Amino acid sequence: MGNSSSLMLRDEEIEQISGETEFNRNQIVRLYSRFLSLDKKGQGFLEREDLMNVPELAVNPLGDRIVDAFFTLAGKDDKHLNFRQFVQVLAYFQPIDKTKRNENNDRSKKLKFAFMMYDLNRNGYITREEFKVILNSMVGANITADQLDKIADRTIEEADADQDGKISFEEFCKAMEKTDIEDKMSIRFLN
Amino acid sequence: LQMVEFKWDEVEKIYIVALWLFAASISKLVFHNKSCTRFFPESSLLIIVGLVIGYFLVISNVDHHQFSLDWHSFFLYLLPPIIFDAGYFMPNRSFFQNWDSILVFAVVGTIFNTLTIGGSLLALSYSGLFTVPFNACEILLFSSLISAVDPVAVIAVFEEIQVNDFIFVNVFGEALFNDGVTVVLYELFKQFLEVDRIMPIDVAAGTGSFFLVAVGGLVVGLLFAVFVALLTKYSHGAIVLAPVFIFLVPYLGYLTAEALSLSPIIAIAVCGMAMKQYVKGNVTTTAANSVKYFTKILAQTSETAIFMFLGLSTLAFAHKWDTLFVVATVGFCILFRTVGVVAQCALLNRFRGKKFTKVDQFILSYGGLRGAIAYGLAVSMPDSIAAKQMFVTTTIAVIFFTVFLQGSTIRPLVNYLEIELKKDRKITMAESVYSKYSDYIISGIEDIAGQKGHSSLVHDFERFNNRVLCPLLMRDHARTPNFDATKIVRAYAKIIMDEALVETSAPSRKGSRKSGAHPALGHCSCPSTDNDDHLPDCTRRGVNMDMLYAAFSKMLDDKMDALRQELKNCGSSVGADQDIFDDYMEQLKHAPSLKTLHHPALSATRSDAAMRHHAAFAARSVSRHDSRRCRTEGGLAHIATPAGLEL
Repeated sequence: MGNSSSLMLRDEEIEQISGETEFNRNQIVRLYSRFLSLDKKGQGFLEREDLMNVPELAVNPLGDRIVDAFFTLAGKDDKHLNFRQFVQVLAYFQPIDKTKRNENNDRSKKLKFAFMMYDLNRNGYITREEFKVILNSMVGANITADQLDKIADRTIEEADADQDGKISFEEFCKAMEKTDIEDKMSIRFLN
Repeated sequence: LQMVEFKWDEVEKIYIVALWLFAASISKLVFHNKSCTRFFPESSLLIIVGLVIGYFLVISNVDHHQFSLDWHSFFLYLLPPIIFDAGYFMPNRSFFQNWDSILVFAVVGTIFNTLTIGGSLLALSYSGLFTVPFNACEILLFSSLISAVDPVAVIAVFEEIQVNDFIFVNVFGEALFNDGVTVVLYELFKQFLEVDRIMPIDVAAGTGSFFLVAVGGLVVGLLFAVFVALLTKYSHGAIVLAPVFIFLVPYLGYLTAEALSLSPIIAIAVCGMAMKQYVKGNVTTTAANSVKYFTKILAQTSETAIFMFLGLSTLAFAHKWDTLFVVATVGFCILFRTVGVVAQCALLNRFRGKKFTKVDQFILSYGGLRGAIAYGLAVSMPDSIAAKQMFVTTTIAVIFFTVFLQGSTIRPLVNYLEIELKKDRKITMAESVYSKYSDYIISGIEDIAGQKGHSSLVHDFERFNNRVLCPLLMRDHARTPNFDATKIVRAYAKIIMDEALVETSAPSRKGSRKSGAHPALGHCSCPSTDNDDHLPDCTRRGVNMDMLYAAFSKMLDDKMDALRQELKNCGSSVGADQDIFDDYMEQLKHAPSLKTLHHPALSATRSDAAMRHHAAFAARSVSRHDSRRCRTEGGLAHIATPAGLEL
C-alpha cells in the first residue's frame, strides 16, 4: 500500500511479465502503480466494481462491455483479476511491431478483444440478437427500431459466410481483414 | 446636349477588372473540358492565361503599373476568402488525427527551411557571385517567404491526383498553417531590417512574438467563431441575414487580428473550421448551401485573380534575372525541403502509430508547391531593399518551377510509385460500425490503464462538445447522448443505395450468377445453383433469378423516380448539394477519376452520384434537424427492402 509500490512487485516477477508481454520495466512499474490505485480495497486483485469505478468508463457507452471483455480474456476465474492478468490483457493493445514475429498473432488478439465485446454470452458466436442488443444500447435513442433491425441484419449478413445466422470468430476476422486494426486498436504505453 | 455619352473614364478601372475575371473564368471553363488538365494543374493554366493577357497589354502599351498587385489589395481583399474557404472546407476529423504532424511540419519545417535556405544563400553571397548584394536580414526576409508551401497550389494539384487522405491532409494542413508562421517570420525580419543592430533581446522578443501572434490568432479565430455561432442561433427572424453574418464575422476576425498584429490567416482559418458545425445546425439548408457556394465563388475568384496577376506581372515587372541566384534558390528549396521532411518524419515516426513511409515522405517533399502567397509577400517587400527586384524575379521563377514542373510531373510519379490511391472499395457495414466504436474501446482501455491518450482526448472533446458547446451554440439542440449515431445510419443508407445502383445498371452478368454470390442476397453454399436444386434452407430455392432481377430493377427505377421527384419538390437547393461537398475530403472522393469511367451507370449521369449523396443526405433527416429538410427516409426504407426479397 502507499507509495512504495515497487517493493511489492519483485524483480523476478517483473522479468517474467516483461518476457511474456514485451512491456519494458518502466511500463510495468507504471502499470503496477495504476493497478494499486484501482485496487482501492487493497485486496491484491481487481473486481468488476473496481474497474467500473473509473469515472471516465462510466460515461463511455461501451464501458461495461469493455470491463466484461477484460475479465473474460483474463482467465478462468472471471471475477478476480490479478496484476499479471491485468498486464496480459493490456498487452493486447500494444502497437504491432511489424518486424517482429507473430504479427498475425497480435492482430488476432486485438480482434479477439473486439469480438468479446459483442459476444455477450461468450459462446464464441455473435448472434443477431446479441448484435441488436449492443447496437441498441449504444445507438437506440437516435434511430428507429426498424432501422436498427435492418442495420443489424445487414451487418450479420455481410460477415456470415456459412449462413448459420451467427458470426464466429473466424468470420469476424475475415470481415475485418481489410480494416486497419493495427492502427486503430493500439495504444502507446508510456514509460 | 448629348443624349448618349461614352463615359469610359468613370468605369475604366472596374470594367477592366471585371473583364479580366471574365476572361479568366472563360479560360477556366475551356480548360476544364479539355484533357490538358490531365497534364497541367489548373493553376499553371491560369498563369498562362495571365501571361497571354499580359502580353497583349504590354503590346498595346497599357500602363502596367495599374495592374500590379499591391500589398493592400492582396492581403485585405484577395487572400481572406481563400483562407476562409480552406478553413471552412477542412476535413476536421482527419485534421485532428494528424494535428501533431501538421503542426510539426508547419512550424518546425518552415523555420528550418527559412534558416537553412537563407543561410545557404547568404554563404554563397559571400563568394561575390551574385549581381546584387544583400545582407543577412534581407536574405532571411526572402527565404521566409520562399519557404511557404501554398495551400492554393496544393489543393489544385492534389485534387487531380487523388492521393490517399493521409498524405493529403498532411500536406494541406501544413500549407494552411505555415502561412501563419511565414507571415510572422516575414514581419519579424521586416522589423529587424529597420533596426541597426540586432541584439539577442530582439531575437528573444521575436521568438516570443511568434508564439503570441500564433496563439493570439487562434484565440481571435475561436472568439469570432463563437460569436458567429451565437448570431446565427438567434437570427432566425431574418433568414437572409445568416449568410451575411457567416461571411462578415470571420472577415471582421481577420481584420481584427491584423489590426492587433496577430496572425490573421490563422484567425480566419480557425474561425472557419470551428464554426462550421454550429452554423450548419443553425441555418436552413438553403442558407448553408448559399454559404458554401458563395465561399467557393469568392475563393475561386481570388485565386484566379492572383494567378492571373502572377502571369501578368511576369511580363510587366522590370525583372532582374540573376541565373545563379535563381538556380541556387530553386536547388536549395528542393534540397532543404527534402531534408526537412525526412528529418521531421523520422522524429514523428517515433511517436506516432501511423508512420510515414518512404513514399509518403517523397510525396510530402515533392508536393511542397509555392504559390501566390509567396509572390504577394515578395512584391510587398519594402522598396528600400536593393535586391528587391532580384528577389521578386526569383520568387516568380520558383513559383513557375514548382507549379509547372512539379505540378505536372507529380501525377506520373504517383502512378509510377504506385502510391496507395483512394481506395475505391466499398466499406462494409461491419467496418463502419466497428470504426466508430474502436475509438470508444481504445478510450476505455486508456482510461483503465491510466493513460491519457489521443483517443480519450478526442472522446473528451466530443463529450464536451455535445454537452456544453452544442446546446449553447446551436438552436434546438437537445442534449444528445454521448455520441451521434447518424454516421452509421448514413453508412448503411449509402451501402444499400450503392448496391441498388450497381445491380440495376450492370448488364446481366451470367458469370456471377453461376457462382451464386450476390451481395444483397448473401452467399449461397448450395451444391448447384439451379433454381430448384437449392437446399431446403436456402432462400434461393424456387426463385427465378432472372425474373427477380427484372422485378427488382423495375421497382428500383420506380422508386428512384419517386425519390427524384420528392427531392425536386423540396426545392432546388437540395439538388445543389451535389456540386459542392462538405469538405475537401468529400470533394476528393467524388472528383471524377478514371476509375468511375469504367462503370457506365455511375458515371453516365451525375444524377446517380447525386442520388447516392441524396440518400446519405436524406438519412440525416433521421435526427432532429429542422423540418424544412426533406423527409425521405420513408422512401429510402422502401428501396432498402423491396417486397419479395424478404431475407
